[in-house]
Amino acid sequence: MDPGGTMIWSDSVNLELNDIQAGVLRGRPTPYAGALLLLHIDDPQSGRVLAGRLAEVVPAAADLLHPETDASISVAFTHEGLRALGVPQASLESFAPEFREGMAARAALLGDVGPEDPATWEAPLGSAEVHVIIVLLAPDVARFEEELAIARDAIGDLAGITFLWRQDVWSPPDGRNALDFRDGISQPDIAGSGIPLSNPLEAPVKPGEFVLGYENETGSITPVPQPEALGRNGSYLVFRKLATDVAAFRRYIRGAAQEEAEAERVAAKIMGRWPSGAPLALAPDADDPALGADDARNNIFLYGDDEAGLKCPVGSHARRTNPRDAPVLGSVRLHRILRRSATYGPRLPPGTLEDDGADRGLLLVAVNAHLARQFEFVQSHWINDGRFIGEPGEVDPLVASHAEHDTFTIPQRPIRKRLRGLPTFVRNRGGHYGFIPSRRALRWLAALDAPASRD
Amino acid sequence: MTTATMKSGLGQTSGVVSELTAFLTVKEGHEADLRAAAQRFNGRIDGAPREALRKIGIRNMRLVMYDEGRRLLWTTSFETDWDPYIDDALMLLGITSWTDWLQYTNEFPGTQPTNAEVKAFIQTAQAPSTAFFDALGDATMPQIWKAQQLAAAFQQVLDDPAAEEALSHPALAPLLELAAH
Repeated sequence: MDPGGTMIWSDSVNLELNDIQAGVLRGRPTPYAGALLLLHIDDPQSGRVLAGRLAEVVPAAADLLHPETDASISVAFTHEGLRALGVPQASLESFAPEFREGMAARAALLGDVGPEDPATWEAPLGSAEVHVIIVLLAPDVARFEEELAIARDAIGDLAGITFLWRQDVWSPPDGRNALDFRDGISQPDIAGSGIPLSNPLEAPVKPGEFVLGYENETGSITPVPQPEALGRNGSYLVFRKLATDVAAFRRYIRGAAQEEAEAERVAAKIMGRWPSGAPLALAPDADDPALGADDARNNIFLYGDDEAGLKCPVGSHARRTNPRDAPVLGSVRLHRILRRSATYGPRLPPGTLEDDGADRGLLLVAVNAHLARQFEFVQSHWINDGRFIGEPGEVDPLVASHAEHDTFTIPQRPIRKRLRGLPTFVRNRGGHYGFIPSRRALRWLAALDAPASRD
Repeated sequence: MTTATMKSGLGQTSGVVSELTAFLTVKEGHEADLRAAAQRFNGRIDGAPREALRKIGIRNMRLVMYDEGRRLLWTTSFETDWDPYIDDALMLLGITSWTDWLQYTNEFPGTQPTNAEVKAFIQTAQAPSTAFFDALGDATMPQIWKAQQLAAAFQQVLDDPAAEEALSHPALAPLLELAAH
């Protein structure tokens, strides 16, 4: 995978790429500009017209093979949204139980309790009023404005569609997130997608983990919502608005270190990567900006030669949320998610250690085929628990809510460093589960008022 | 059943641990009594100090009411064989702790049995297990607790700023090997 040379491609394409929404398989560009829009469907007919219009403008995953089309509109519906469109009851009942319940109802399992209880979420997040989720992602502001205009045109004159909420996302030109780290680097390679492999050291994940209707990693097919015209080639979307206390993070790592260079090292140990994106597994001692910027190299690594975590801590955020070949409880391949997350809010000026009150953080956007086995598992077992790495007393140092006694261990010779008193850096302000229909399914939804079209 | 020992009746062993499994029937009309008594028994063991658990040797215990409350599954495992220690177990927990729930099974010999009768009851009620595995079968509870204490103490040492210098003594090299993570 040298820059000018041969790309390593996955096996032959066998996904219906013309039907799958591009946003399912397309990685987030870096840098990027985008937005997440939430809509309410007041009357079914307006909703169906909207679905039909979106079917015309949502790009197909096949466009991925044409790199010039790197902006996309993705659309998903909540369970209430599908109901508002008039999807028949039997069909509504064929969706995954956790999707039908919705993210707010899953709060206890997801750790959305106390200050993150759905009752505290930013309106209208978590509400049954949210019906349509539109995700816009583009490589620059100009392209984003074009996508936004297309989405606006689709909503346009529809009196029965109410705009509820908009969250803009963007990265500075260096592609760094609110914590000044490059993120969104590692994604699962998908077998049969035709997308070049990012880590040839691991076998690509079977497509049924991300797209409904195909074989998954268990060798079976995840239940497809019925009828097939609605469910096949669809996926489940997750989004969560994760407010991040950047000042608290900076203060904490400064306090945990004697000097600034050490503070950067502590931050990298918490993340699992250096600010440039260079993985600790490949650059254990110092940041390597050239490596971080090189997408042909920055994801090619495993943890098998670092069982103790001397290079990348076992409990670091990146290693927890994708343990690769590390010896953990369970099978890592059954719990992968596609990440399309993006940063929101103004950057806290460099060096500032006091919070300025601005709303900033990460809009977590993820795609998977089985919410319970993938997103919910990652959240409840890999982020909010430590038993899978044999450390019941440790949770994700970066994104979990912390109790007073929480610790984070940085393995190092001769003596490990143990961080204590971690404050909670990230709080969920709310989110939703959505179903991302195929482009054909969008047309099926648009035709719902014509009884003959209901197969 | 080549691994079954005479001492444990029909039970199997995994390392230092032996198991006991019994299928019993519930006295008609006493399902609720048995359920409440089983929970009391659970509470007694769960609340017992480690020293008591060590003396009793109990590793785990499970009571499952099934067949619409008509039958009871009792599984438990001990460090060592229960048979030579049956008198000890009855005395340590108190025979009333056992009769409190066992009295609601048809197989149990009355409400005030002798130790010999209890022993005979357990031997006849036992069902042979086909498979038994304990991942910590190579360690006793005192060994595990000691290891936990040692690990906690070691972490306390590592938290001390003087630890690096102290552990650099050649005699402590094996400990320094474990200090990195």
